[in-house]
Amino acid sequence: MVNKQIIDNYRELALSLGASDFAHSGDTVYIVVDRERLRGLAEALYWKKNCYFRTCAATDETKINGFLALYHIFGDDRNGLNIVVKTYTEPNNPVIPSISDIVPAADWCELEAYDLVGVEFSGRKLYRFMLPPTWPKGLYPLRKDTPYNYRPGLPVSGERISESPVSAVVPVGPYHPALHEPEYFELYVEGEKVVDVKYRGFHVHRGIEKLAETRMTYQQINFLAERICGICGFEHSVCYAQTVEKAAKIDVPERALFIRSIVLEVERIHSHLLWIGVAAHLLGYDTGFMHSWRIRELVMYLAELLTGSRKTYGINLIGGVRKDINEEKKKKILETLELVEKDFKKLVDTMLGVPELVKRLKGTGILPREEARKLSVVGPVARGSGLDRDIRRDLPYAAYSYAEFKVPVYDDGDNLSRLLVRVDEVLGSISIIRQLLDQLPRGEIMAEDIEIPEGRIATSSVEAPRGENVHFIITGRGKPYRWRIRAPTYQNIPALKIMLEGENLADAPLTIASIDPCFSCTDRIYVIRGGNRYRMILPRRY
Amino acid sequence: MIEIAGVSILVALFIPTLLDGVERKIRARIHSRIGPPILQTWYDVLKLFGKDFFVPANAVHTVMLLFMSLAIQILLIGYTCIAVVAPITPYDLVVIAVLAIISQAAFISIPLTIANPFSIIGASREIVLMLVNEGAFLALVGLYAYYTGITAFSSIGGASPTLYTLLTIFALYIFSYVASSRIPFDIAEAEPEIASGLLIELSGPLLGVFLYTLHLKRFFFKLFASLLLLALFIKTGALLLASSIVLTIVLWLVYAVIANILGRSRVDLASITLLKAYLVIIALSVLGYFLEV
Repeated sequence: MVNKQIIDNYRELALSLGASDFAHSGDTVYIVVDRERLRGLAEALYWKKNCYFRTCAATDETKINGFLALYHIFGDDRNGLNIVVKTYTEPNNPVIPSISDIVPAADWCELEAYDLVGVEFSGRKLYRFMLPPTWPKGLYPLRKDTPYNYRPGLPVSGERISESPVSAVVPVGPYHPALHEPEYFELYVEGEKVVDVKYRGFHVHRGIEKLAETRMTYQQINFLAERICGICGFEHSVCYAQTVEKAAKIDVPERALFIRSIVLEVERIHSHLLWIGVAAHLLGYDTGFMHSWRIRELVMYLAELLTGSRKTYGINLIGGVRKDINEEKKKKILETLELVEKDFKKLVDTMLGVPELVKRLKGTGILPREEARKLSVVGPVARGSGLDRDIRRDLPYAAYSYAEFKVPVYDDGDNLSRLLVRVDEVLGSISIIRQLLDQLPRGEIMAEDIEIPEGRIATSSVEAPRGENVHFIITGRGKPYRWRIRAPTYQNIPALKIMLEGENLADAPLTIASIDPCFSCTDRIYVIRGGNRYRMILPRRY
Repeated sequence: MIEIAGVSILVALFIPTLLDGVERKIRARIHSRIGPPILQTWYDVLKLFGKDFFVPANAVHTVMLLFMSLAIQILLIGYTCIAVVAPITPYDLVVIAVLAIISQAAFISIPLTIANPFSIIGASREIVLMLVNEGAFLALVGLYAYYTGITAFSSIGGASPTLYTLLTIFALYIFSYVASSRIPFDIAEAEPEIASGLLIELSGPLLGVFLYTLHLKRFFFKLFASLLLLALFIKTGALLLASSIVLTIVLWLVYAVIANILGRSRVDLASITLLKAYLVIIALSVLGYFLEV
């Protein structure tokens, strides 16, 4: 329960800075502020109240109130609060002052709001960010009057590699052995020293949010959310479900919450083991790569045992889960975890004893604490740069309040720190699963009455292996009116520029990998092109 | 005698690619995998030779250098095998060293002729490493000849195993490991970093030639160091050659294990570390020579 004094302080601050409305519900504070006063409030929240910036969500509310709206979502992690700041703007003059100079972490989401909803930001440079360069002007996919299946006939166009008279340009992507998804980094090098970096992403942005808002039901979206990511999809599914549950005030059975937490931790272990293997491979230590993935295989068996699938489990629904855990499974999980723990400790000891690995991890890809704070980076990237933040502890969800765990924090901000955070987290997750299995309560796994009223707003976060997922929802009839997803990689990629500048070219792939980037999460894929026509993959109606 | 040399040449041309297959098997066992059959590398090379002959854009020189490199490498192995059993000149050792340097220079010039940034980066990395490694090679061969008075295998009878000579040969083994482009010194091709670097534009028969040349190179440098080592103990040319080939095979397997317990270095770290190691070993060796230990 959030302290009343803290809420009063926020009320006082908001009203003193000209907020027109203030409300509080559960762990979220809602503030409405005029355009003219937005910057002042953002500055106070970000720098005086020391809040992190989670994301912003532009919304076409013309069908509700005749306005476009922009929601800035801040997080006061120390006090376990989300602060949602809403600003209205007219659809015929949709200008809102940019806060990206005050809150650098808001840079990307402002560009996204400009591209997809058509909100213009004064005081900053605006350019095409997610949509192709040839996308028609004035066509905004997330506006409610744009049909979900409207496809402008775009000419096929390419983007040329930049040229520099001073530095050599080394293209990394869209296809590169170190990148397993199509993204593009342009590294400017002098000798082997990286002097500048450009990033071009969103090659595969397909409008997953639009699909949910127009074509799917609340329960179907659980399965869509799980397909946002091929590694940590369950985190998105849980995040979506608990955001809707929060908005609709649905009481989820405790046993279901425990099962969610257990599966979330299984997912964290296999994701970190996958990353450790990839990092070892990038460092030329394929022995570490193979053994990390061998150990991961045991965890994949666990996922299959718990959910019936190695990946994309499909067990999550609004109101609970679809698969229970029995005594036999409990025993098997504990036995497997013992093996995993033993082998993992041996692997880490061996890896950290390889001199080349330590030399290449230590002191490379440094993200200083101040820069990490400025960009509100998340997950192991934040904790590797000395930011003590973990949503599992700061805004406990599912059954995390029943488990004791230490949040690993390292101050050096280098690739080694990020590795060590993940190593500690694997061991932490094993401990959490043991604790939760030990305390697993009896009872139902699905809520009985599920009713989702219209017009409710909620935001919720889940600590995925790569950092916090943030989902924001405005409920609609039978489906969300607005669903905004922010994956952790979205928040961490901007930090790569700082991490890569001045680095050796040889360390660039490792440094890029050190944020454990998941580009499909960031790009939110769903609609695919098969042959000459687009085909939409819809989950079976639940 | 010439028959022995001939057989040795044939063995030396066939065995390296087979040993690469054994190395892959060893690697797989260390990784807890089954791994491919031992002949897999030969299958790969033969399959590459069966593919379309494709020359990268503006890279005619690449083809010339690649085949030149292969020819020199075969010549080097042939010359060495013959020179051990039937000396050709009084300065065989010098001829072999010079040929080895030419072969290395031709090999490293290949990626420089390809207009691809990753190829050029790979080549530049190899050059930095080569400046240290080849420099040390010349110094070490010179020191060996100076200490033992051997300039050709005809005079192997004069050599004796002293500590300073052994140190020189030990450094030659380090050289042979670095020249084999194994981890941690595979920085010129570093697949996840620079998309295979110097190999990036090669495919089909050209890639086959490149890989076969690399296998021969790996074999030769180990064989060379082994000949100098065993020459201190074995005074018969044919026996020396046969035992050196056996030692080379054993060493190949040892190198395979070493490569699996290390990670890839970086060009700046590798060259400095290597330079320091060579300077220390050479200094100790020279000191040992003057102190007569």
